Amino acid sequence: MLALSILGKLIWPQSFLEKGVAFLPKTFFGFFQGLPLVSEGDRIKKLEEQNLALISSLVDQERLKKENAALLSQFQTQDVQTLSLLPSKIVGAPGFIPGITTPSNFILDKGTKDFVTVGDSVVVNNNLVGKVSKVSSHLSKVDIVTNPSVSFTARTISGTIGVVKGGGADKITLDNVLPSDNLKKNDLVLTKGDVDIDGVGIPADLVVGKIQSIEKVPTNIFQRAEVKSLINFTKQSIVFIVVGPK
Amino acid sequence: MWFILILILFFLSFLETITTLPLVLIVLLYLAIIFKRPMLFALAFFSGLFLDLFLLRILGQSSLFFAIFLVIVLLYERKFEIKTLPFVFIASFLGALFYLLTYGNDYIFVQALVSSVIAVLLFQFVILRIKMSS
Repeated sequence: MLALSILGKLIWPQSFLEKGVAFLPKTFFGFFQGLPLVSEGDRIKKLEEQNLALISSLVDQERLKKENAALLSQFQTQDVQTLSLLPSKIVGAPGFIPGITTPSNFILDKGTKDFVTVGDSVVVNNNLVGKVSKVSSHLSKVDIVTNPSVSFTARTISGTIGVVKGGGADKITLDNVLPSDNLKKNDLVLTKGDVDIDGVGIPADLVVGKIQSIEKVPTNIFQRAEVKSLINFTKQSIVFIVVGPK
Repeated sequence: MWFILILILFFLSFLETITTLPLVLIVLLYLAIIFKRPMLFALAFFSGLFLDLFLLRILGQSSLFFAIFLVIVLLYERKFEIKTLPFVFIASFLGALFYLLTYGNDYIFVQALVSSVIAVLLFQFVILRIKMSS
C-alpha cells in the first residue's frame, strides 16, 4: 500500500475516502475551537483583528507611497496585483498542547479540486500564515512560517533584505542580513515576493512579523533578527489561500 | 469489546489532528501488552490509514510504523515480562520518540516523556481496575 501510495496509484481511492470522511475532522476541530478553555474572549479577538487591520493599512500605505514614487519617476510602474483569495477552514492544527503551543502546520479543507497547488501561500488579512506543502483532492497541508521547512526572501519596511527561516516552536528568524544594513527593533518584516510564471509562490508585501531582537556579532558574516508573527496561530479557524491564475 | 476499541482508535485518530502526541501509538502499545492478539495488526493498519488520511501523509506510512512497533513489542514478550511498568515506560518513550522523529515535530523529547507518562498512567489504571474486580 505504501509503495502504491508513493507511486501515486492510490489517488482515486484516497480521494474517495477523503470525500467520505473529510467532514469528521472539520466537525471535531470546530467543536474543539468552541470549547470555553480554547475560545478567546470577544474583546481580545476584536483587538487582535483591529491590530492586524491597522498593520495591513500601514503596509498598504507604504506600498502606495512606493507606487506613487515609481509612477512619478516614470521609470517603473508597479502593478498592484489583486490577490485572488480562496477562503478555507482549518480542519486540523496538530500542536503539542492543543490551543496553547503553536502548531507546525494546518490541514485545510480545500484541495486540488479547488485549484490549490503546492507552493501557494496562505494569508490572514495582509499577514502571511504559511505555504501549502502538500495537496490532495479535498485537503491541503500548510507549513506555517514558524515551521523549519519554510524559507523565503524578505525585507524590512525600511528596505533591508534578508532570508526568513522558520525556527520551529514559534520562532522565526530573519537571517543573511548584511552587517552594513540597518535593522531596527519593532520594524515590520515583509515578504519580497517569489511568485513564479504560473502564479504560484509568495506575493510581495505580506506581513511576516515584527522584529523582536537583533543579533549582531562583529565576527559573523551576517547579522540576524528574531521575528514575532502578529498572528495568533492557535486561534485561527479560517485562512485564505492565495490562488494564482489557473 | 473490539467494536469499542475500534471506536476509541478512530476517536484518537481525530485527536491527532489537534495534538502531535502519539495517542494511537500509546493505545496500541497498551493493547499489545494486555491482549496480544493478531487482530491488533488490523487495528494498527486501519488506525494508521485514518491518520494518514487526516494528516495528509503518504497512505500506509503510519500503518507500517505501527505494525513494526507492535512486532518489536511482541518479540520482546518472549524474552521479558512485558506487563510491567518499566517496560511500558521504556517502550512508550522509545516508540513515541521514533514516531515524533519520523514526522518531524517540535519538543520531541518532552512529548515522548509526556507520552510515556500517559501510557504508564493508563496501564496503572487498568491494572488497578483488574485488581479491584478480582
